[in-house]
Amino acid sequence: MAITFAIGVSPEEARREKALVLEPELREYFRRVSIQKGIPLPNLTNLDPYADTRFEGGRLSLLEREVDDLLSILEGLYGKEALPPLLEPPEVIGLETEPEGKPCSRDGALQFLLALRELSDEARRGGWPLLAIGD
Amino acid sequence: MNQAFLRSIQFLSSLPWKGLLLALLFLFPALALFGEDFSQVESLPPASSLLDSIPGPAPSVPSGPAAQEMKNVRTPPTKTKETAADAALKKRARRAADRYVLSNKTLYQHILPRHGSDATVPGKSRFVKGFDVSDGIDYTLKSPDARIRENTDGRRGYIFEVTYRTRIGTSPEKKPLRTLRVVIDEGGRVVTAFPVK
Repeated sequence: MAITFAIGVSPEEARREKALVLEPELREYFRRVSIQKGIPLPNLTNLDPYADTRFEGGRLSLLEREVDDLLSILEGLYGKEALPPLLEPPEVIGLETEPEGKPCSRDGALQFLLALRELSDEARRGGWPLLAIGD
Repeated sequence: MNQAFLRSIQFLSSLPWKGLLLALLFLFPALALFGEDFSQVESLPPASSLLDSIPGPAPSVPSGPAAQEMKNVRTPPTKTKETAADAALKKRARRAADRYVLSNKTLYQHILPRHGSDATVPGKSRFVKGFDVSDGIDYTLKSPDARIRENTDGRRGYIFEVTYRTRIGTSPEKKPLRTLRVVIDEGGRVVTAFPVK
């Protein structure tokens, strides 16, 4: 159920070197934050995990705005010492396919969003679609 | 026996405070001996629960070949109580799976391009070479041992999973995967299938 973000016209031709994986635990965390803060992030949190979504033009702009919104929310939240458990990111993600998972925590959540912002910038500059590839 | 015990309790309780002391003296051993029956009469918790709280001797750890043999024996999974809603869900899922359809488009244009052994889509788990995906889907959807749940996030359909004894796939980090997950919609059409942990 992980979703891979990559630049390309089709999943088979997506650029492998800059692919970014949104693990289900992190997606669930972003969804929790969006509900708690009352900010809808449909392009980021309601992606179909079993299908592909294509971001280009206006849709890419919407995704970028959502990523920026979420980044500013999280940076504000992480400035505080203690957070309610619901707003804390998972310590480990990727447990669906990796036996030990991968470390995440606050740094991992921010790094993912920054990398996604960079990837969408690159797609926009190159005139390529950004794909969210499901399973 | 119990009636005699109850009568003695009643008698002791009618005495002044000395009787109370006597009652305490006899009550605890008696509870331990006849606690189960007594609790049924008086609707008290069974005395065995009191005994359970007393720490017993530490379990001895067997060693040698016997211990090794014990490690090799797989204990059967504990069965949790299935609710009526779970049972109804499984029934609906089984009905959909009974008439499942795996289209060529789903197999050759969706599943294999991203999860096949030669797939090039980044960040996805892959089936090992030689694993027959359509056979695996058929087995998973028909297996009485399949774990079944509703599709996630309110999407309609069902998720079936079967864990194999051997490796059927590899994770993006090249770790072995043994479980096949198959997603079908409400009508039984296969949406996707891929290996997970």
